[in-house]
Amino acid sequence: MIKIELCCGLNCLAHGGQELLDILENDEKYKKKCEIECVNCLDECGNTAEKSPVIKINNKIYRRITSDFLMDLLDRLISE
Amino acid sequence: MEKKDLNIFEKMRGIYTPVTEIRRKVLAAVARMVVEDQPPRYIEYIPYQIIDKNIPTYRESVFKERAIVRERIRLAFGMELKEFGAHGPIHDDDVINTITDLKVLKRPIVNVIKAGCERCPEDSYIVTNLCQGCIAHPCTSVCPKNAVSIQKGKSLIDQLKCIRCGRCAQVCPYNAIAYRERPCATACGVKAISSDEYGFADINYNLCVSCGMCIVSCPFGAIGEKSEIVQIISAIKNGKRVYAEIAPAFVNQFGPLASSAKIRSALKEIGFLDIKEVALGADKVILKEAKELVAILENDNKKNISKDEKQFIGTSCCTSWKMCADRHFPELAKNNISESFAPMVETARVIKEKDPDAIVVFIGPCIAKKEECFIPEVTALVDFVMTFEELVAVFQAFEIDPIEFEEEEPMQDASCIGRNFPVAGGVAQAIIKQTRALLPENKKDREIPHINADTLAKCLTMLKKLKSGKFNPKPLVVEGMACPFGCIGGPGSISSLNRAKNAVKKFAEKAKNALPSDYLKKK
Repeated sequence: MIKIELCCGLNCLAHGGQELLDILENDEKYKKKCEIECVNCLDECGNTAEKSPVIKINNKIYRRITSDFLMDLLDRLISE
Repeated sequence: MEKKDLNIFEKMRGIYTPVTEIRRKVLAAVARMVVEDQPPRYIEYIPYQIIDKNIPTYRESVFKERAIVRERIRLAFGMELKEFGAHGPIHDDDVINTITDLKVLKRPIVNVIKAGCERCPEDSYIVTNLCQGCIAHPCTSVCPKNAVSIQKGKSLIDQLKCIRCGRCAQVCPYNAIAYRERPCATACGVKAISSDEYGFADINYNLCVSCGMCIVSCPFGAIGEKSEIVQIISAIKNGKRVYAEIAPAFVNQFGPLASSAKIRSALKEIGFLDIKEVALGADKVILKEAKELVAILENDNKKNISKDEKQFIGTSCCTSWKMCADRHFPELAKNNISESFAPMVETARVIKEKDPDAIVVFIGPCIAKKEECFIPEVTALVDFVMTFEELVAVFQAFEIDPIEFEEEEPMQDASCIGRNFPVAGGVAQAIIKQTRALLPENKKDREIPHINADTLAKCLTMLKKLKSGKFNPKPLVVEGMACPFGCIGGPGSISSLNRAKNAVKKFAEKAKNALPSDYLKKK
């Protein structure tokens, strides 16, 4: 099981977080294999658009993660 | 994976593109400047903060990128755009005059930033390089205008002859003929966008209803709307009695963790004195329109209804829809579209009745509401309008995040059906439910035919059919919404459609009262 913590702070959500949440919630593949949790602000973006959105996957922090990168990363983690 | 054909304004929705990023960054930077009390000269630094690299990221040069950001700043301050080619520094024109708590916004609301417009060609059929130059070349045979010919072994469309019927594209075995659309013009339901003499997009303001669909559809971000955040922040900082009214589409816009109570606390922290749900005004509108419907139903027994009498209830909450109907079908609209003002106005009235000095700020997903404020009766009640996107910028400028607040008593101003307003079909359903409750026992089960349409193009088709009487049975409730899927698909929204829809539904279920008549005084 992959543990995903998505930062739901305002900055992360306004700068791409909503899109990530969409991908995680709408894809059956990720729903089955991942444990998705919306968490309070992880305080990693420094309130700037340059570092958000922030996501924690298996306790590792990723900053300014784009949806294509996220899908690619999760696909790799799932196949491992 | 199955791929659905998307409408032009749906294509980029929910995707975080660099266009969205720049727009939100500009708003945040402008809001921050006002919160921090920076001098007007500071405005010149903002383009350099946003385009901070020395090599171009988005366009051919950093100078052009900054020039366009400059125009966006102008819009964010609520200033007029400069005539194309007449660029000057921003800070010495009107900045001082815009940092005020008075209303500075002027029409038009939706503006083409000509410097950013890439002059996309108007809609046309073009032969792509998929063309194999086949022997059959059915494209030439089907063209009614003899516009397709074979040149150098490939087919070629003579654009002067072409009437855009699309037959050639339909018959090509290689799908080699593509329809090239101009995103802004295709997104515009009232066909207000054409080209000026140089090929730049140009809005005909006699047709435009400020729905904002072109803004979210332009892939170059060349269309923008004027904002009032600077004046709102100034009003709060000047200690004015500022109240917020928040549209029912707000649920989930600030994330799944930001509950209604947290959003209220955050708004109060900024300096809003109180926050009301616009669904409260929606309830009043429902009640009023339901009573009108009851009157129509009672008239139903009469055989000959004169043309001047009300034949159906047209909803009145969507400004763009109302404007659009007024312009294109004036008679139909005049007789049938409800006189009642939008929920925004009704809610503002409640606030102003309690506190005559109140400054009312409407927060919603809608750009057309900015336009509605120019109606004299509305100007007196609603002072400013800001979108959810702009509110995020304000939150960021004040360094406030709703989710950091304690969970308190949730908002409880409105009924269940009032809260369902922002989803397409919700308004019609609400009126019907309320009407059923008002009807006497023996008539409760009678059928109330209704129709609804979202997006202006569909609305116009609906009105056309309605006028020629093509609907059977004749609908009694007609709902129109300018945005896809209702207000939740508004240009100022942040959340994705599906999640917003579900969240609105859940929030509506939490309402104490099922119907407006349960708690509003019967007058």
